[in-house]
Amino acid sequence: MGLIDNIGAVPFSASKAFSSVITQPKFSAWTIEMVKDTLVSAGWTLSSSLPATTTISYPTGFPSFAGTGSGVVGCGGNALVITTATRSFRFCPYVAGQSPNGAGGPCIQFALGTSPSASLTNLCGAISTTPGLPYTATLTTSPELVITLTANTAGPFSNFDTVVADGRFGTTNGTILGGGYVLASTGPSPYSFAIYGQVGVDEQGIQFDFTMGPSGHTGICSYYLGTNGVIEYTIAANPYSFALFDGVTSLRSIASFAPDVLTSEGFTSAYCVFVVGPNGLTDRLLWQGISSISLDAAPITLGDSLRGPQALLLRAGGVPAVTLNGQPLLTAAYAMMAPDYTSAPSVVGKLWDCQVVTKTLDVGGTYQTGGRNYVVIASQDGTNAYTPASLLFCVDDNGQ
Amino acid sequence: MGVQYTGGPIVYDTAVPSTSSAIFRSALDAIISEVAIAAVGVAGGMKYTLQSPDGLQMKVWIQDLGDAGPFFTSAIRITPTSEDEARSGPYALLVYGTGLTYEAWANEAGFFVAVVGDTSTENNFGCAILSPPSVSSPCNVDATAPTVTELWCSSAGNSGGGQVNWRNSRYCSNGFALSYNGTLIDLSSALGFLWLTPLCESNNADWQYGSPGEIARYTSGTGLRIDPLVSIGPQIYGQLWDAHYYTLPQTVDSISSLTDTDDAGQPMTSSWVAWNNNVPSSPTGGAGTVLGTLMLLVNTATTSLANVAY
Repeated sequence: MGLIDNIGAVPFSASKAFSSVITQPKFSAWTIEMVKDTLVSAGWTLSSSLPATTTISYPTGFPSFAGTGSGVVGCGGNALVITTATRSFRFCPYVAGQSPNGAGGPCIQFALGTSPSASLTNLCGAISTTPGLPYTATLTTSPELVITLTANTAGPFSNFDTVVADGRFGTTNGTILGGGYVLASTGPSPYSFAIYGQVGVDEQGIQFDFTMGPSGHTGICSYYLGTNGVIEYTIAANPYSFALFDGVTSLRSIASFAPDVLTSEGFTSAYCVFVVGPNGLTDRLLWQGISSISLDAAPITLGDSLRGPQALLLRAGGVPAVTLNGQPLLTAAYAMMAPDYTSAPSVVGKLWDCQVVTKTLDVGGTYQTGGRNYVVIASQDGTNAYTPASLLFCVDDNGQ
Repeated sequence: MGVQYTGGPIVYDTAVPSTSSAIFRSALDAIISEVAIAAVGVAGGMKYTLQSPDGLQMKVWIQDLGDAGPFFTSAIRITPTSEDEARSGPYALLVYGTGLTYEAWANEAGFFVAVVGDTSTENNFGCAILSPPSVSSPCNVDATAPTVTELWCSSAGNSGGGQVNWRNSRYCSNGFALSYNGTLIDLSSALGFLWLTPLCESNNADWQYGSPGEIARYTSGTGLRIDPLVSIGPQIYGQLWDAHYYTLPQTVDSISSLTDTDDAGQPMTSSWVAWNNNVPSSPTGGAGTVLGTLMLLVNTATTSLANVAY
């Protein structure tokens, strides 16, 4: 190793991926699907697929009927309504001895049993066997009666189907959620995250639950990413990192990185993963919003501290730095952070496939240099004498 | 890029007497004459021509013109000029006759003088021909390298009392000049200060009154050593010869023994003096030189420096 740190040497990974998806019905699901496909393409492992689920609780039980009824019945009171993307499924009870659907209504009828659990068992059977309804219902009876609805197909596309219970006996949050995937990174600082549908404030969003930390010190850091107003989500990924953003507002962005901790360049061998949460990534290179850091310790989540993770750069106050030929300067993206609030931050590694360029650029735009193509994942101007700069993420090794 | 070694002589003298003008100028003459390609007598002293390995030149004038220093003292004058003497930077006044001991550092491309161990007074001067990016450097990967015929800079401590300079900061805020291809830039140009460019956070790391920048250091506690890039405002012009920039504050004049690698992959050990210093305004960061220390090579390496490929 020479005396001078090679701030121009960028660690490039073996695989990279880059995708985008525009707003459309089930945009949340399509975004989750894109994240999964892109990361798998970049070398991540699809650890598992998560089915969308919800529960309906019956804390006071459910009607039952021990006798024998008679006559023809139509749709009575709704016991349960499940609405998918294409239609609604309405479940109504009848009592033994009666003839269901006499009125020819659209409901799907199930027989009340001789006990609450028997009635709900019948309801579960009706749900699970109804053609076109992609759910399986199971009943648990202890400590209370609970029906769990589980999408027959794991993944995000059943997210945000809705459930309405009768209101007298059954209670539910009304939205089927949790469908998605668990993806695991590779490398010396492995981490994983579950990505699945989550409801926000009047929007269908995406939940990220990162599991990170060295062995014996793992923890989960959760982030929510909304979709309202998003025209397009773009993702850049490599085996150790990804950045997802809409290119318009930092609120709609999230990224995770496991820097290259190359001891031959002076870095200390350490487990290192950090997450830059929404409202943090795209409009600055010192991520002072909500972020999570695991640096040889269990992860911590920072708030509005000045101690967030950051990418270092060659300083120029207010105006983009240029070389003699008028070109911006390009340096490796040195990552600096502290493992907690009290420790001094230190330079822990370089971000894979990333460069810092001393120029303000449009986030989501492309940049070519050194025979490689990059996408801009963060950029800031010189307001308040900050250093104008952008963070580039290489998405193509093969030229311009 | 790495250290730009001149491969030529380097003189570092920490016992430059200033008991009189003649003694002071004679001591400086002995130092700079070892690296200058020409020395010519002028009124009150001499002017010296420095030439970098790139062939770029500048002149340093060391004169006694009867200047007065502060508090009824006398001072010699050091003035940087272009090789054709058409452009000159602010001169430094270095007090003599008050018992001060100076130190001076010189190589083919630069000349630095200051009071030993002192960063608080204005008795200091520094000038250097810069090394522009080579044609094959990363700076020119996306564009053609410009033709450079002149490129030097200077920092004079006395101009504009109370201002920072390259002895107590990473930038010179007043008595500076930089001349590039026939155009001299100084404070009146209003393009910014003469900077040594730090590797630091993207916020306003110079804002010592608010949230001072964090010092860039490895987890081991050591700093990063980077190219000593010189800029004014957003324009980065080149780097100092036989120098590097260390991201941690160092005791001024302290010597570090460091190892570099020559082009044969062999280690070479050399010594470096911390030329500037400032007190950090917080334990983890702050203004001025806490974002970096200018390190100057003070002796030749134990293996052949001529073997270094730059």
